[in-house]
Amino acid sequence: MPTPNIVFVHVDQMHHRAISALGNKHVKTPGFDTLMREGMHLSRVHASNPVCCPARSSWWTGRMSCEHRVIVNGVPMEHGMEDVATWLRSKAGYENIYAGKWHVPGRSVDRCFKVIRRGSGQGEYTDAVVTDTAVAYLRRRKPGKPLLMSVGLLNPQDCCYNAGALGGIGKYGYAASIRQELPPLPENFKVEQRQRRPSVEGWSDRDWQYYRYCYFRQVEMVDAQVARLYEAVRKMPDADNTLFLFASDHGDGLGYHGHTGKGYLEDEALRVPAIAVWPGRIKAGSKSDVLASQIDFAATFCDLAGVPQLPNTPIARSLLPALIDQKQEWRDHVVAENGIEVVIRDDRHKSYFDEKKGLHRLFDMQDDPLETRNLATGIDPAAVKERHWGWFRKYAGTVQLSKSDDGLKAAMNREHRGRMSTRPAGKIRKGVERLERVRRWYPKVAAGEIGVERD
Amino acid sequence: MIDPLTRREFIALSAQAVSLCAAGHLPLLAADASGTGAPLATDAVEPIDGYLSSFRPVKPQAKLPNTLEYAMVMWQGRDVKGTGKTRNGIRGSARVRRAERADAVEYEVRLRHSAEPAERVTKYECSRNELGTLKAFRSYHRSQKGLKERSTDTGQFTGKQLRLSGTSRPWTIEEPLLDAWFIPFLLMRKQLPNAIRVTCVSEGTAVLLHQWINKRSGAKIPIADGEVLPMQVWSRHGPGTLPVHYLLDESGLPQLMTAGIMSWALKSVG
Repeated sequence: MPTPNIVFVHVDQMHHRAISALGNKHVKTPGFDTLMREGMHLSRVHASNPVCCPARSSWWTGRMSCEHRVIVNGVPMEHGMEDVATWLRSKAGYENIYAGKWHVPGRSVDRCFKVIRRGSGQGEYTDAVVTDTAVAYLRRRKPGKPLLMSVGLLNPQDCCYNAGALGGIGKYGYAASIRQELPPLPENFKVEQRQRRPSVEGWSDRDWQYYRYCYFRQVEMVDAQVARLYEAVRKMPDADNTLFLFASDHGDGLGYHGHTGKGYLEDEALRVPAIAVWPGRIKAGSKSDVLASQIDFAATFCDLAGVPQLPNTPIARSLLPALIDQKQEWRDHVVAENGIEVVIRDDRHKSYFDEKKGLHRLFDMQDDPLETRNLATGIDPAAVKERHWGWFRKYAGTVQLSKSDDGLKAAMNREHRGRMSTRPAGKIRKGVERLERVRRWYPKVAAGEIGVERD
Repeated sequence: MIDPLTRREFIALSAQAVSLCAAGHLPLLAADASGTGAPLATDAVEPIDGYLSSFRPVKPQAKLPNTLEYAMVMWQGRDVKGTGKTRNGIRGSARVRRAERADAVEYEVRLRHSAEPAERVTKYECSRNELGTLKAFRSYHRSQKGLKERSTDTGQFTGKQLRLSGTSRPWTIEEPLLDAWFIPFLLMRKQLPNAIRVTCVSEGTAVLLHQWINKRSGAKIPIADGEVLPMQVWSRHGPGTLPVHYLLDESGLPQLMTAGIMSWALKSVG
């Protein structure tokens, strides 16, 4: 069989349950529903770090944020990182084609792909045009070299502008006209609001409901474009030899825990929708519950292409056996980080570690999937705490921490000069602080110099 | 202690105050002598409140136009340190032509994006019924700047089945089927019910089921040179779209349309 094609379509900031086929009555997504019907739903994929640039850097490199250095948006990737696109082109002769949003700082998309269309910053403006170009390419393409095509769509990320830090947009007064159509607030809306953004302070419940209403419309907007891309792939002459992978870089608060946006490690931001379709290879209408991370995408692509794994990627695992229903041993936990906290998630529990507080939050995700009852101070889960602490120590000792500061100062200067009116400045400075924390914290964890709980 | 205003509340109130002043309801600016009563349309023009001060409406013609040409006005954040109003830029255009034939109505929609250059031209054949519902279309997309990518999409609507060339399954449509760009022409008609439910095709590529088009209260919109334009306001909402507002001048000409990031301002008629 010839080397398979890979078409990787990704969206931005999509909540993992914003799909009508998953029983969500507040959104209509015939496109995603078709993917679910014809492919495999990967139900437990986690962002490595739930922000655009870090997550995207991870899925191309198979490395965690603390390794590639992109720990917040805008921090440039450390020099010398291998990326799977360049790897597949050099090792297996792939034709690499890109359209849409890239957002991997410090790595030029032109180095990795032939770019047929760049995206701007707003999905409402750019997604249909990016899709037009990608669909046109797919229709005229003739089978030859194996194809690695990636299309980056933006919605539902336009929701950021509805709740923007600098004033927002969104026609919130319109909510009164469509009261009956507004989705309800999540059950855990008022449980814990520890990271509520200043831009949403003072919102009424109806404002929140309207935010959710608009968010679901933005999901529907991008659903239509993903459906077009999928149909174009299905009509390729070599469609049977093509893996179509859909995913998001991270989720959105969507009112869960009173959150909007991303960047924190609760499931609403951390988990991402992911669906894979491969006619004849992946069972239609199937589901996999493996605990997966975005870093596994690069490993999966290497496995598919039959090339060695990217160097220094001991944590990433290929999802291919899970996709084609081969029995295999799988990892028993997954790790995510954001430079402030580290999360360990196993089949049942999820723990949050902080440099100063140690393991300070712990949830039973089976009994309490909305993360409302912190068990960290209880007596019962002592064994869970020790097990998770052991995994964190193993993780901290496995990752190869980014050490270089090359290019960070220049990036801060660039950010200062090109400050956008839609977001606050100083992100890269915060990123550098987080990097410094990780570089200080993880080696102590790995060496056992600090314990699971601290005052 | 009085709760502080959120930034959004402040901006909304500021915009309302400006509108009130311009309309003569507050004694800060010269009043519009024509009177009172029309509510503010803060939400309807929220994405472009900073653009309105440069907007000059197109003068209506004696007869209904056959061509409407719009500038694509994009929201680009807010000037939070200055006026608090939106920053807007022109990022493309749309030209919609309507022609009546003996047995059909034809539309041509030419949509241009300038930031990442691309063009989509769609030609529609519609019934000569009350709403001019869609029968068939052919849509042609091309990238500019020397890129090779171009493609054609087609669609046929017969019975209740809409078949699009880009998809393998037909859509079952129970409501009148329009392209979203027909709506400005539809709203120019004098006698319409206050609420219409349709399904929309969006430039031949996306299908928006169950769209409600509703007549809303009239509004007074402050525009260039300190003028205040009395407007009729319609809205559209439904799956697959953010709420859209259509603002028509007193002659019924759709001068402004606003969605989320993107809005449209009438440039010319023909």
